[in-house]
Amino acid sequence: MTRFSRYRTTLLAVCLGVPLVTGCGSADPSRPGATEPAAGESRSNAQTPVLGVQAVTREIGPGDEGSDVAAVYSYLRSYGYLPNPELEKSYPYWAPLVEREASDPTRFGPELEKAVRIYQGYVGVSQTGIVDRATLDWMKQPRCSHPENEFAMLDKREKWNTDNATWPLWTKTNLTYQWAVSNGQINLSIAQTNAAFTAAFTTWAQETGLNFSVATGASDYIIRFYPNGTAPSGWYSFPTDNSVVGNTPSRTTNNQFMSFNGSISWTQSFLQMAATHEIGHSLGLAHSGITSSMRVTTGPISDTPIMFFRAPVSFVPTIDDRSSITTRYTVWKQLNGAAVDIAVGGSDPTSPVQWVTSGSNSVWKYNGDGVVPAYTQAIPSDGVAIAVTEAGVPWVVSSSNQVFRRNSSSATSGSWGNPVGGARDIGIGGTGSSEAIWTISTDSTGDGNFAIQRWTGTNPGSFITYNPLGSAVRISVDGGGRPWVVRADGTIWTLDSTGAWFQMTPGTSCATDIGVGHWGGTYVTGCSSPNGADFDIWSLDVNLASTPGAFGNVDLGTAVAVTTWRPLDGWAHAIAVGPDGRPYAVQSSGAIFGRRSR
Amino acid sequence: MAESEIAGTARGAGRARGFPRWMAPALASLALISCGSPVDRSEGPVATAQSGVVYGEDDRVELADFPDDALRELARARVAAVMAHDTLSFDGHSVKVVARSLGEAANLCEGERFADQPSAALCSAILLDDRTVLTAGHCMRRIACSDAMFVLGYFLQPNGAEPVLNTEDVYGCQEVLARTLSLPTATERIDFAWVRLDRPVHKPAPPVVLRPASAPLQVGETVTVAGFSGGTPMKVRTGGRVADPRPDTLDFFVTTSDTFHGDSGAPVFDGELRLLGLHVRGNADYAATPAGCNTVSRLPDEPTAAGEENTYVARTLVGLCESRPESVLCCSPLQPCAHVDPRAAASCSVGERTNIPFGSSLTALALIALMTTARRTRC
Repeated sequence: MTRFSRYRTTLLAVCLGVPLVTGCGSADPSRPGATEPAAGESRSNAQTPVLGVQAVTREIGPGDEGSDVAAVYSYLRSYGYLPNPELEKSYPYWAPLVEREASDPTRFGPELEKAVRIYQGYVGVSQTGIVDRATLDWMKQPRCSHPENEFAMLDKREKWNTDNATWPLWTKTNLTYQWAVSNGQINLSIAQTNAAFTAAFTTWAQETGLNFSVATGASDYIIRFYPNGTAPSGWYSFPTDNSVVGNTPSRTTNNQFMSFNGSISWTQSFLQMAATHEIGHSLGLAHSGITSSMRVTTGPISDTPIMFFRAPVSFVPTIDDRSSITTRYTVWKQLNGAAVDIAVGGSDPTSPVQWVTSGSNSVWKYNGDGVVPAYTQAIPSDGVAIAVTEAGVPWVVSSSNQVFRRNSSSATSGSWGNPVGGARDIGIGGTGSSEAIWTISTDSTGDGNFAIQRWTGTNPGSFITYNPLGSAVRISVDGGGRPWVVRADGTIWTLDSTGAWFQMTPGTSCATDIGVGHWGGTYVTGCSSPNGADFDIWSLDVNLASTPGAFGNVDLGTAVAVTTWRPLDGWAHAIAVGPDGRPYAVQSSGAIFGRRSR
Repeated sequence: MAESEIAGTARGAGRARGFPRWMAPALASLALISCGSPVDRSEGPVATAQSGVVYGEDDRVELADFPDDALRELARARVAAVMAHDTLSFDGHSVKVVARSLGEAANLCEGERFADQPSAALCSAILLDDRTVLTAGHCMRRIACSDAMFVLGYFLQPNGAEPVLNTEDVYGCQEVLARTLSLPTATERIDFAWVRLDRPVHKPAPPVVLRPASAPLQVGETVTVAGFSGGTPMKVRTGGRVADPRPDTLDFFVTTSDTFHGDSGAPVFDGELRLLGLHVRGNADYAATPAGCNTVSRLPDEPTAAGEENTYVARTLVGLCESRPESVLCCSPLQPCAHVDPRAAASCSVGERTNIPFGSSLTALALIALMTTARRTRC
């Protein structure tokens, strides 16, 4: 068996390591089962090669005219910011970030200004609306060919026959790939190239539970390198200025085509990053902005998403990457036990600390993944809401609206003591000295909401009303210590960077409960219910956001649409998110679910 | 009692209480909660099993088995399946459909209805003059006009035999005349596409009647949908009810019809066989089971569970007449072609005129009047 595998690998190297020539049939994409994209199909090059932006030398702003204005316009049009029928054809869920096109692209008008602001939001520079040096520097960097806002139109509720839809989720779990260098040579050895692809596929295998293996013949992924401007018909033609590193067209057949720029100078890790990014596209991920959901700045998770459009910069999944892939390649699995509410504490993505309160005076801690429910501990009355600190210590709200705090993260030792205050719901987040405990108090504001309070300190400690005043019915707290609340009218709010309340309820969304993870990952239960007690589930999918970084540093007023809440399957009564960004749900029946590989 | 005790401990005032029938198996776990032991694994449904698309009983029947003659005749002549070109195999005059079975395509569990039928249609459409069809906007975005085929007569024979098609049943797409597809987050969500066929349809067809302004849609009304559920030969279902007519926006109405993928663009009729709109969105069709296959999702046939959304046909006509005022569907005896402003108050004078004689004019205006009246704009 080993010998056979080795033999196959050798054969592959011989076939793939040289420019494609007749006779190397195993790598020939024209063979059955590995069809080349047909000319003129939607897989073909969508964009006019972008050349001009490299030639822009001055700062450009409203009122300016000239061919360099047109070059910036063309750049933003090619990458999704302005209306572009060719993109619509290639990316069926894409919508332009700015709805109107300019009447004269050589003049810096309001459409271009809006597009520039949104672009600046994506790359995380100051949103001046002027193509200043910082903005221009970004535009001149090599990037991925995919447009931004790729999934704006995605609506899983459409009753289209999804078998043929281009929402590119693989349904099979064992996938194969083959790569070849055509029409030229890249500057990496076969071993280096192999290692880069292996590492890239392995990253996603770990996130999705899919298996990827190299194949010599027909395969699911057909990967090629083409030098600038020389791709065969049907393949993406790389602009001649090295501005694009990779291309992954929407999958419209059973094969996923993918190409990389053979003209640029690769290193193994550079190729690994580019490949990880492009494979992300093939798995149904769109571009993220560099400034994503309110991530705290230190921790085990990389800061720049793999799916940041200026690939390649990273091959370590961020919580953005992870929560996006989670909604696509995981399913709800029922965990042991029954609960009224669940909370997941800790800050290590690999070891979430799950506690549940299950009514009837009992609070439980899971050891492991809920496989073996472990320890019970009585509190003085029924627990109805629970939150857990970074250290794993649970705080419970009882049905008599009293808050009990455990003096230990252990379920077998420690005790609850006397109530430390009153509340209706509780959320805990943050880290170290910035750990924050927030509650929905019992002080009614008369409109169905209750004043939001914050725990003052450790000992003796008390809850005081937060100023600026806010009121709500549900609360959860992220890793930055920031509260996210749901009000009685279904609106969702959080604090902006100045500490003021900021509404996060785009469109017609509506929520009944909310959970946010330590490193990100935001889920709500919605307002549509089959039984009056369990509600639909939505994910704040930063990866799909058309306004990345919409949480503080980007002026939402400049954005056309906020398409960030995405439906998940299932119904839940209460929801929580672990430090791994994965959601947990409790149904009104008491059933507990976690999101696991399918 | 275990049930009431748990309901009492459930989080959150303001959330409705009570357990519908389908949750009965889960009650076993409730007893466990009241004992304070979450140890035993619940027998309850997995989360996904409760998303759904069949409301109460599955009402879908084959077209040939539908008892109403008028609807059958109308659907035979006017409801077209949207298929990709390569789904059809041409052999002289005869046309065959080549597609996987629904069971295979949707990974259905054994015993699911229609699993052995081909899943060929991508969407549904209705022919509204001799050469113009109306379908969902998202359908004409996902498939290129050049690749889209509109197939009439795609229904099982009365004896259950496969559809028999020939080249006179199959039409190409010449042009997308108008298309609107709102962003999912838009306040008003419109989803339709008007398509001009590559040639006129010459077979006779009963007229389509549009619901007039004087009869706004009511909550609880029963509606009938004719479309290609799961891509299979045409299914008709009645029994779905209007849960929310959205009278303030009149962009779409929400029903409890048993609609599936492939039903996008399917016409929705009222109890008098008047056209109300076209189906565009709804709850998830299938739920995964622990066995690894999918079963049809089920929801109670109650307004709170309703989630099937349908674009008002009036909105589609406004869209058509805005971009193509010369269209035959935008003309009327009172309003010569090419001079119709669909939003003009003049259209109100058309009032109750709602018949669409086949291949002739005047269809849109009564419904546009419906919209303008109902929105209380100037008329």
